Amino acid sequence: MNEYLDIDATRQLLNRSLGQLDQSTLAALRQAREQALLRHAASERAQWKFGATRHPAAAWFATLLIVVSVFGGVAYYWQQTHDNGDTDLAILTDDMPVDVYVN
Amino acid sequence: MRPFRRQILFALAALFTCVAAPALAKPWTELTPAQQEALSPLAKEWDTLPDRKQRYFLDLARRYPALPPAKKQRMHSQLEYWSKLTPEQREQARQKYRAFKKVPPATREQVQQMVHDQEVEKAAASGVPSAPPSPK
Repeated sequence: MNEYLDIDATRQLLNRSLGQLDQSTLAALRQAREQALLRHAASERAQWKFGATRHPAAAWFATLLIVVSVFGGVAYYWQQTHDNGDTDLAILTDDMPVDVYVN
Repeated sequence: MRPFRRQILFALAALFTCVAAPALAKPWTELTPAQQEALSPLAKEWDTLPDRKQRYFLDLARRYPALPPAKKQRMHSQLEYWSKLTPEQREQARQKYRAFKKVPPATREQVQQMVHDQEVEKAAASGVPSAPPSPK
């Protein structure tokens, strides 16, 4: 059905109709338009806010994953360091001079 | 980026707590008396040591108070030499030490005796008395 619509003819028809509208109707239409624009702006802001925290659970899960990975890496690093510390202390306090193990 | 700002800050705080808090590098004058005693052979060069090396020795110093006096003395006598080694040399020493610990005790004692005899000979040649082996 839409293919039979002549857009220019429709626009002219609407403009003619608009010219025939009384002032109170025009004011009501203007007010409705302004309210619609205000609602649209508010809706956009709300949508942005919602988008920011659209998946809070996923965000926290990702953070948790990162923190666990970081903690895991750090724990592994400290474990290695700690093991080395034990060995190093044993070497330093051993009867054998250190250079025996180095050369 | 903005939505995750709080989470990122949280993760960074956690990371800092883990990595930096345990042992921070400090100048010699800011070390505790216990740390200064443990690391006394390094007093002169301490402030020139890189942060990472300082943290490493502070970790060693943490274990020092639990050592018996003879071991403390032994550690002091070897610490300066140890501090001059590169990380690769230290890793090599660790590997050799671990391997040596797997050698049967009788063989180990023989090797220790040989090394001790060599030290005595060297000390006699240089005129400096050699330190006796520390009790285990």
